[in-house]
Amino acid sequence: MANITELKSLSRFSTTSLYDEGSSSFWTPIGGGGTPTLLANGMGYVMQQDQYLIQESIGLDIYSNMALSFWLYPVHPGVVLDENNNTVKSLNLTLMHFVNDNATDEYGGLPIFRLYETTSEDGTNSMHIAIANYDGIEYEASTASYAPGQWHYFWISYNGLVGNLSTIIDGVTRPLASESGVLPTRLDADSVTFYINRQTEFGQDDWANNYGYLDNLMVLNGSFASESYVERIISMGINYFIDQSLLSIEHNDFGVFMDDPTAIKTTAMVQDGSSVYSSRSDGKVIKGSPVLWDMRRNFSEPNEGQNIQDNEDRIFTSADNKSSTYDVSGGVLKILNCIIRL
Amino acid sequence: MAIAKTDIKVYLTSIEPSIAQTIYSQSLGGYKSASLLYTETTLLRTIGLYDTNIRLNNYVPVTGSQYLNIGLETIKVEAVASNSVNVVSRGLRTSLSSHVAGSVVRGMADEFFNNDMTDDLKQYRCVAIKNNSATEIAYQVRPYIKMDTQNTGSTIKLAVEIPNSDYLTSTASDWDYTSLEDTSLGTTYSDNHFTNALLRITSGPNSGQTRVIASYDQATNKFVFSNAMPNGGGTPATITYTIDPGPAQRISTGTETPIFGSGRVSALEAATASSSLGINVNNIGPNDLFYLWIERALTKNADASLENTSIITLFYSTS
Repeated sequence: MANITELKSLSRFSTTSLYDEGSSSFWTPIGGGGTPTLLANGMGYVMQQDQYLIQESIGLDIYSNMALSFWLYPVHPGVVLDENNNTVKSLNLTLMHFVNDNATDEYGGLPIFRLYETTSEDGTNSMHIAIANYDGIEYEASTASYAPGQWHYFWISYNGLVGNLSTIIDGVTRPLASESGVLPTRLDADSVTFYINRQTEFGQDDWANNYGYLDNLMVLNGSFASESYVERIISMGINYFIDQSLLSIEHNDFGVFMDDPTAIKTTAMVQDGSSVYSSRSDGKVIKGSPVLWDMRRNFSEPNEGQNIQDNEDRIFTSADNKSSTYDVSGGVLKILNCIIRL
Repeated sequence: MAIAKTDIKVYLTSIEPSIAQTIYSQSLGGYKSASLLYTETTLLRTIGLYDTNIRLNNYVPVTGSQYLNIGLETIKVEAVASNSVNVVSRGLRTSLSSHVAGSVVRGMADEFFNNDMTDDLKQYRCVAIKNNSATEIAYQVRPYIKMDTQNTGSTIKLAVEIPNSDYLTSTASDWDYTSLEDTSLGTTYSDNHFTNALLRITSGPNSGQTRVIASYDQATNKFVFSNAMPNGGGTPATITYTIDPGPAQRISTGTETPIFGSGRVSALEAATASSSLGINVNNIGPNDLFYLWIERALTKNADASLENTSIITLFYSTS
């Protein structure tokens, strides 16, 4: 399997080694006992309020183009009451950021790229995107809102050359809101330290660590700004986007739609002393006797008597060569010296 | 240019070629009919995983539909009456997915199978899957069941039937009322290779006429028609013609078991992504097709299951 050259980071979070097959290195969990928690069946990383992940000095080789995508199962811990003016404000939830290895400050460097969630009073979340470069050019924007408690697929595409930043949420391009600043023409994200769920602003009551789920985090040094890429990943899987040998594979799907009828089966059986009644799922009620000599005393159907006579070889055998007789008449079955085959 | 998704269409089959097939229970092999499995339109705009409104380019072909199939997803909707369709339930017994603008939208009817079953509770249907592109090829086509039914008592199996003859377009060197000769074919095709396929005249006085081929002779490269053409005389001397891919086996009722696992027909299998059918479809060239047999089987204690869906996927390469 040869990956596309633009792939710089891909973390599937399927094993606790937290391998990044794009950077060929591993995430290191800090805090939370140093052990990551994963969902069953490799379905994602469970972020924890006392844990963050770090990858140091990975080569993203990102300058003017970048695409970053991931599945997120967001949580909504509520909002914050500002005691100074008794108003409600959003809670900010850390998600991810990366810093240039050559720039350091108190928190490990000025984030070149930072994503965090903000909660709203209406119960939804939105994603906040902040971008900055060495020249002090900064840009911020928020995405459209989305509902917590269900998986969402995010695709963020940056093209500094044409001054475009776009977001595709769940496969659809959504407009950005609350834009401020100027989008840098380049990011200087050649070698970076990458963090997941680490706070960059401490001591503030409106910040908290995330405890949602994260999966298939991917970083590309190309913009790939198209909904069709997302559709391909969602419907076919991420390998059909990153594996060069699978890029020419397409799929065409069609459904066959039907109502399955009930195959006939017994739904209940009762006995009234002379017969057994069986109700079937197709609405019919069958009258009969599974224990012929014990239960069946009433042969009211003339055809049943004929049926016994037609199948006498299968039903009756003579006992000890004694003369055996049977007779069906007047609704009564008379048997003498017979063995009955069940 | 690569083949487009919209180039591959799924048709019902019929006892005669090129006629409309409006009865699902009669899609039992034979020829590709003129009717699609489900009527189709396209998406006007992309819909995301959780969107609850669908915008269509032209709702007319799917008017009244309450179930739409887009890619891997079946969507229950309010009966379609305009290009704006409200969703009742996304991912109906299928997975959620996003769908980009231009995707094919099929209006699903619920009678592809009916309640007439064999004694062992099976029934069969046959569809034709055709590459409508005039120039592009779908390579290494592989059909399989992407999503099985969610009713554990109801299973779907597939078998592929390859037509005896592929699509052909050529120029006749001589012709009359009842036959046509094409010396350019040489010894490429054996005697009766094209028998029962549909020949269409595309130039000359009989242009537009179609006839089923009764026989083909390799030595003389002569096609004999099942019925005479309206015009004879052989003028002009050369005319163009096409031959549609040959028909599939035909069964008389959906409760008759077709022949599987012999010749051009694969065994019936619960084909999955990792376990494909025994016969490879290989490439589907321009205007070519193959047939797909579908068996629905119920177990004897199966519960009723309404709105059941199975998604069949064709994997192929565009280069």
